[in-house]
Amino acid sequence: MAANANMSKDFFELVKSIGESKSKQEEDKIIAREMHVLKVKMAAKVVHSRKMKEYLIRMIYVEMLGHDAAFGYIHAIKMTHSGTLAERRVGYMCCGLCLHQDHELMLLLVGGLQTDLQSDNHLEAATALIVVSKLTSRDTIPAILPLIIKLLDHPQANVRKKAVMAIQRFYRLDPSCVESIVEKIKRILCDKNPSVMGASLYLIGDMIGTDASVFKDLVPSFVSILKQITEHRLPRDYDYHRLPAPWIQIKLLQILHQLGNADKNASEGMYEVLHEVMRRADIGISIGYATIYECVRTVTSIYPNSTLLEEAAKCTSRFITSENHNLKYIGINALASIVQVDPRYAAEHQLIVIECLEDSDETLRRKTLDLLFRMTNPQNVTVIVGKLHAFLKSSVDVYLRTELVSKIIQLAERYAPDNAWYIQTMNEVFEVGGDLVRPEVVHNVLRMIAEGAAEEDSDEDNIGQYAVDTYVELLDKPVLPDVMLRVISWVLGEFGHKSKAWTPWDISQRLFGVIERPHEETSDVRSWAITAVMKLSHLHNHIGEVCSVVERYRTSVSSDLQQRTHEFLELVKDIRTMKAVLPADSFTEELDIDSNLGFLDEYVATASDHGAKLYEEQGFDDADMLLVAEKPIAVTPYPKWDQTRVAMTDELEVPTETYSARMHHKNPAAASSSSSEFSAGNLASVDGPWGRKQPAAASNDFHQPKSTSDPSLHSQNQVSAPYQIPESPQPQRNRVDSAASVDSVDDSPVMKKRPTKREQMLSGMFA
Amino acid sequence: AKRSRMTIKFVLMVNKQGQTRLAQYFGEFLSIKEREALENEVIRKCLKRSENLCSFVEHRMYKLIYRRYASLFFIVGVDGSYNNELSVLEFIHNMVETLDKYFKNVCELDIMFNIEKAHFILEEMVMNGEIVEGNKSNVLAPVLLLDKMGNA
Repeated sequence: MAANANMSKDFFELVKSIGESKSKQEEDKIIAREMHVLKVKMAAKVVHSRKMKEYLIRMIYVEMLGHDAAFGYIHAIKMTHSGTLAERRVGYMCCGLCLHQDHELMLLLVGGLQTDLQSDNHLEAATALIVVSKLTSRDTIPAILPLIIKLLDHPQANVRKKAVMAIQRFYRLDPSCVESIVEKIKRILCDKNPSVMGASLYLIGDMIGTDASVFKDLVPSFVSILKQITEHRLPRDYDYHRLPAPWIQIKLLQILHQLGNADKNASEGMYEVLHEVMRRADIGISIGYATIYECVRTVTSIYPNSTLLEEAAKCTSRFITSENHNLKYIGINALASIVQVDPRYAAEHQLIVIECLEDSDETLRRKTLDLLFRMTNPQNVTVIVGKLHAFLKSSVDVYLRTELVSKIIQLAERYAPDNAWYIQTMNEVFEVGGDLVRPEVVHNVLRMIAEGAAEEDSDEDNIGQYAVDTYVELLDKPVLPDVMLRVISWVLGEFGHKSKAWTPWDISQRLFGVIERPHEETSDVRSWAITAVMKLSHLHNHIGEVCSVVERYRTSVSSDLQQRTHEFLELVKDIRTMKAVLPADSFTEELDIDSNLGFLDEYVATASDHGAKLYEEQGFDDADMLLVAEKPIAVTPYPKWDQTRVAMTDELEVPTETYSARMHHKNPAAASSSSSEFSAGNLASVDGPWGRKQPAAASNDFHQPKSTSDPSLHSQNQVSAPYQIPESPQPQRNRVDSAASVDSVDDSPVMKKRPTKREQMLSGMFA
Repeated sequence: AKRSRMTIKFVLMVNKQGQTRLAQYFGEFLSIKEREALENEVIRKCLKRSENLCSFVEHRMYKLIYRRYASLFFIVGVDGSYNNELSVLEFIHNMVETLDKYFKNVCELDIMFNIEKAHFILEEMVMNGEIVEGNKSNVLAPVLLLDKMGNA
C-alpha cells in the first residue's frame, strides 16, 4: 500500500526526490522549490479542498525537514471547517503540528472546536478532542471545559477516553478547574470500557501527586481493577504478547506506589495483588519484565513486606545477571530502589556492580553511578566519592557533570569521615567543577570550616590550620576557578593567624598575588581577597606595603572595591579601631548592632545644647502623611487653585528665583522691557492650576529669600511661580548630604538619623 | 507534592541518513530550528551505539529510548525523571506492530507516502504525552472508519 492513490503526481515526485536525495544541500533545494510552489498554489483564489489537503501534507514535509512554512498555517485553520471529514482531519493535524497554545492564530480555532465538540458525528468530536489536548491554553479553558464535561458521558468510548485526556490537559494548566467534578472523575474508574478507565488513571495519578488523601479510599478499587486485569478478565484484544493491558497495569502500579508510600493501612491492602502481578508477568518476555520492574519499584516504596521484598530481590538478581543489556539496566535501577529499603542486598551483587561501572555501555555506567550514590554509607564513602570524582574529571556532558558535582557534595556533607578529607574533597570538586557549584554550597563549606575551627581547643586535627596550609599551597597554581579563590581568600583572612607554617605576612603576600591576577570587571574575587588582606594587616609589620597595594583600587570601576579600599585606608589611620573592627578569631561571635546609633546620643545632646539644629528629614513628613491618610484616593476633582494649595506649597522648598526672575537675569533686554507682560503672557496661557495667575494675597505667602531684592521681582508677585523641583540646597537650610559617613565629624550641624544602607553594609562586612 | 510531568516529550522516526520521516512533539514548544538541532543530535547519539548495548541513552534533560526497524530508527524522548524505560521500548514495538497491521508489512516508504495516516495512528496512541491506548483494534478503528468514509 505504498503509493497514496488520492494524491497528485506532484506529491509523488516530491516524496520520491526527497527519498532519493543524496545530501542536505540537495534536499534543501528541493524543499525551497516546493515552498515556492506551495506559496503560489495555496494563495490561489479557488482551491478545491482535496487539493488543499494535499498542499497541507506537503507543507508538513517542508516543516519536518527544517524549513518554516508559516504562510500555510492560515490555510490549515481554514481547512478545519471545509471539505470532507478526512480533509478537516488533516487540517486539524497540521494545526496540531505547527501551532502552539500561545500562537496568535490559536483563537481562530476555538469557535470551530466548540462546534465540533458538540457534533453528532463522534469522529468529529474525537478529532476536536485531540486538538484540544494539544493546543489549548489556560485562557481558553472556560470556553471549552463545559463541553468536555458533557462529553464524559458520550455513548462512544473513544470520545469519553479522549475527553478524560483533555481534562487532564486542563488540570495540568490549572488544577482548580476540576474542583467541581472530582466525584465524576472517580466514577470514570468504573467505566465499562477499559480504555476509558485506563485514561482516567493518568488524570487521577496527577491529582494524587497533588493530594493523595482524596483518593486513599479508592485503594481497594485500584487493587480490584489490577486483579481483574491480571486474571485475564479483559477482552482479548487488550492483550499485548499475551500480557493483558500491560501499560494500564504499569500505571496502576505507579498509583499504588504513590498511595502506599508511608501508609501502612493502604499498603497492606496491596500485598496480595502485587504478588500476583509479579508472578503472572513472569512469562519470559520484555513487557513482562517491564511490569515486574514496576512492581519492584512499588514494593520498595510502600510500607515494607518481607516476602515481597524477597521476591523483588530475586527478580532483581535475575535482571542484573542477565546477558541482555536492557535487563542489566533495569536490574541496576531496581537494585537502587531495593538498597534504599535494605542495604544488605547491595553486598550480594557487589562484583557485578563493579563490572557495570566499567562496562562499555555508557548508559549502564551512568546508571551504576546513581546506584553507588544510593548505596553510600560512612564505610564506603571515600571509595564511592573517588569513583564519582573520576567520572567528573573525564566527562564533558554538562548535565552529567552538574549531577555528579551535586552528588559528590551531598555525600561529602553527609558522610565525611574527617575534616581533612572533607576539605580535600570539596577542593577537588571546586577545582574540577567550580562553575557548576551553587553559591549556597560555598557558604556551607565556609560555615563548616568556621564551626569546626571554633569548636576545637587543641591544635590536633585543627581544621582551620589544615585549611590554611592547604590553601596557601593551592595558590601556587596559576589558574583557579573563582569559587575556589573566594573560599581561599575568606579562609586565609579569617584563620591565617592559626597557621604554624606560614606567617601572616607570607599569607598576605600570597593574597596580593590573588588580587593582582587578571579578573573580570564584574568579578568580586578581588573584593574577597582585599578584605582578607585587611583582616591580616594588623598582624604583621608591613602595613605600608599593604596600603600601597590596596591604594591601586581606590578608583576601581567596581564600587564595592572602592568602598573597601576607602574603608581600609581610613581604618589604617587608627590601629586600635582596626583591631576592634577586624578582630582575629571571632567568626562565631555575635555582632551587636545598634541601629539607632545609641552611642552617639550623648554627643548629639551636647551639641544641640549648644544650639545645633536637629536633623529634619526631607520628603514625606507628617503633614504629607496626614494628607495621604485623609484622602487616599482622589475621587473628587482637584480643588481650584486657592488657599489650600498655597498652604501646601508653604512648606516646600522654593527656589531663590522665580521662573520669571531667572528669565529676567538671563535675558535682561527682554525682561526689562516687558517683564510683566512676558511672564504674564507666558504663564497666563497655561490654563492649569499650576500656571494660572495667582491671587495677590497668596503670593505674599511665598518665601522671598533675602538675597534677591530686585524690586521688579516683587511686582511680578501676581503671577504664580509654577512649582518646580527645588534646586540645589541652600547652605542655610541645614540640608545634609545623606552620604556623609558617620565617622567624619565635621562642622555642619549635627544630625541624628537612621543609619544608611551603606553604614549597615559597613557593619555587616566584618561578619 | 510532586509536580505532574508528562512522560513522552517527542516521538521520532528518523532514517540512518538523519532524515526525519515523522516527528510529533508533546509539551514544551520547540521552534523548527530547535527541533532540527534536537533531531540531529539524537540520531547521531543513537547511530553511535552498537547493537548489543542497551536501548536507552540520556540526552540533556531527556532520556531516549530507541530501536531500529530496517532503515528507520524509532526514537522516543521521555522526561528525564521517568524510570520505566523498558515499558516505553515496548510501546515503540506496539506502535510498529500497529503500523504493520494497518499498512500490511510496513516499510519506510509507506510512512513517507502516507504520512498523515501515520500521524493519525500515533495520535490515537499518545495523548498529553501519555500512552493512552495499547489495544491495536481501538487504535485503528477510528482511522479505518475515516478511510471507509471515502476521500481517505
